[in-house]
Amino acid sequence: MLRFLTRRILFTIPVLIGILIVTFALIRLIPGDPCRAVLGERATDEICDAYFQRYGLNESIPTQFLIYVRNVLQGDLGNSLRYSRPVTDLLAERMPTTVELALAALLFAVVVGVPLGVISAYRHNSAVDVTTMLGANVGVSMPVFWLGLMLSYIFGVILKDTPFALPPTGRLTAGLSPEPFYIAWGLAETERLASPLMIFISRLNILNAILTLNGELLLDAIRHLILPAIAVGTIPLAIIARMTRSSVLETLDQDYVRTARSKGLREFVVVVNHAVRNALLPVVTIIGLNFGLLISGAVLTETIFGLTGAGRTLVDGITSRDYTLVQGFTVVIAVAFVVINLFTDLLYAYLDPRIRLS
Amino acid sequence: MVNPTMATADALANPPTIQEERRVYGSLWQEAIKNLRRNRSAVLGMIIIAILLLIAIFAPVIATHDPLQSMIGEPGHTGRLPARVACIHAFGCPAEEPQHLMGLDLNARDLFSRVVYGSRVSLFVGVTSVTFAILIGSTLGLIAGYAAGSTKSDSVNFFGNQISLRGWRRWFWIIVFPVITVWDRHWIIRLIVFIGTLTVVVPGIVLALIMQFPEEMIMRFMDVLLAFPSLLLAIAIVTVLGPGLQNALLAIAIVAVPVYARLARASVLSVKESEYITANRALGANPFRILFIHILPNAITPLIVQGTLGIGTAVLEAAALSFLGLGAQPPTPEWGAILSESRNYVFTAPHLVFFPGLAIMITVLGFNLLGDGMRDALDPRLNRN
Repeated sequence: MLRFLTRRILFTIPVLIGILIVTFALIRLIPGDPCRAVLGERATDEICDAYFQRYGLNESIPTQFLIYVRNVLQGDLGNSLRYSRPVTDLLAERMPTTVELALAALLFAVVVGVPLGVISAYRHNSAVDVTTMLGANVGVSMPVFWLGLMLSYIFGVILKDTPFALPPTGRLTAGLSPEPFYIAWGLAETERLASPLMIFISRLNILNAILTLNGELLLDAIRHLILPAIAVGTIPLAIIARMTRSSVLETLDQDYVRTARSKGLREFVVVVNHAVRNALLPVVTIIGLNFGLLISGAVLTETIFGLTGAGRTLVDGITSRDYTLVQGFTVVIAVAFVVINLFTDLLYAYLDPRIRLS
Repeated sequence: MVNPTMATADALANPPTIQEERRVYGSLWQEAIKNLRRNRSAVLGMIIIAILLLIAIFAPVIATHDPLQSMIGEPGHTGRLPARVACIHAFGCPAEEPQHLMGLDLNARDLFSRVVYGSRVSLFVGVTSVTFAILIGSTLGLIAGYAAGSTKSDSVNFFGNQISLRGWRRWFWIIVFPVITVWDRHWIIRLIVFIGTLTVVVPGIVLALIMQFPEEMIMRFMDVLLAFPSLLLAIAIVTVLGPGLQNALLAIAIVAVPVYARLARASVLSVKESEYITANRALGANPFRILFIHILPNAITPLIVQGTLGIGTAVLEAAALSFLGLGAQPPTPEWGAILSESRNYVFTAPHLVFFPGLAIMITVLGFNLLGDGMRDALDPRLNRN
């Protein structure tokens, strides 16, 4: 296990270095003068000289790279050109929306996808199975942004005056302003005095509502989260349902399942405790792989649902040519992707004794 | 179907000639096509794709209007938008109204014609980017697989212990030795480690690197590309290259390269040590001949299957990039771009969003169904029944 662990962790080092190289190259590859690409065509020579000086662009490329790596390791991702604020601050402020959305989407995908997969495996080739698999095929083929727009139309316009209506935009109903938990608990008096971690947590609306015991706010936040979560979670749901189905189909054929049946165990126990438990191992890996889908889903749907999260900020950054912001967000998301994959692998190894003990 | 075990036993007893084998089993391709025609999802996918191809080829015949021509000022059309677009032929219209199957878009252009022409753009982007990705990816994968050293050649004898410098161990030595050299307090240990590094580890690493350089370089770079969520990487590439359909196509292709490189490499590794390759080498065939004539055919089936699925993904990604304003630029009739133009009017003119999205979904569904069916039909390893 220890060997596997060190091996797996060491393998991520070259990948992380590679990510830094790629994001470093990103800004250098923009055609033309980096200063004028960033500050605009009308920047004077003096301004550009100062800019070069400030960001070490006079140095040789390897030195520039080392400066970049040092800055990233110290948590300095540069200043956003558009907002003239540190990119890290923007991240701490806007990441929570995306994290909340991604987690909700993942929850939706797992809670719906796994049972669907299990049922369609158990009732192999039945009407339920055929419908689920057809639905899964349609699900993976759907453009996320289209689904988002259609959902907001259906629940925001068609069902407007029915009990099923759901708010199609925003994170909270306009006028509701959540009290950050650090103020409610007396940890800090204003936002300026709060640590970035506190701000990050307080902006996870659901968690904050629970921490401040505000039921109304909690309900409102959840209602606003449902539509985006369904839009982002549909593709992962389809993938998880398919994966679970094929995996359960395989375990249902195993000898130990037959043994469990012949012992006279109840069918439910056989399926859930023997077949499904073992079948879910490969499904765990899928969660890590789905992170990419969740991120691209967030990038494509946050604008639609009026959420000011990392995805929307990134898209806005691209259209306004805010290169430092794009670079900073890209590096953070890519590193998060690698780390999540690492954790899924380790979790998988931990859950599967065959890997753990070898 | 013939029972495979019996067939094998039979074949071992009296080996058939190639002609006999062909008569019994048909050629591999015939077999594959037979399997494919029996697979329901593959057939459905093929039908969808065939219809789409026909629509794309005959777009000028099918489209009722010029996709770029605005209807403002034409008889029967007033300029009131988007309220004016609400009359949609597909959902029923009074007879005296001008007929537009899917209504008009915000610039009073016929939406049906735009969606029909959009199939050209999407299919073109899907097929071209995947072809490009397969060409680059499989070449890189073949080179990497062929250049991969055998496991024993790169271990180094270090004080009687065989140190393998493959995989993670190399990174371990590269990192740990310099760190000990710099930070350990005892100068004796530092000296020993330093000398050891200089005399044993460095030459060993250099040797190993030279022997595996192409493989390491290529596959590590592919790992890095795979470390980014694919849409994010495509966005980053388009940011650098500048928005536009061509650049979006290139970005989608680059993002897909690692998948094909890995597939091709795995196929090479699986047949590289087999005897017919050794025999070819002994006969003096040059590496390129071995690679492209003898090894590549083994990699083709997985590449075709993955490529078909990849076209669906590429269509989806192209639409996403256009939706973000990074791909096709207006007034190009591209599905993602049409969606992006009218997304702010989803509450008043939902059909503008509905039809192009439906078109994307059907296209992607067609390629996914065909790809899945092909995987079941063509991959003999998965052929369980």
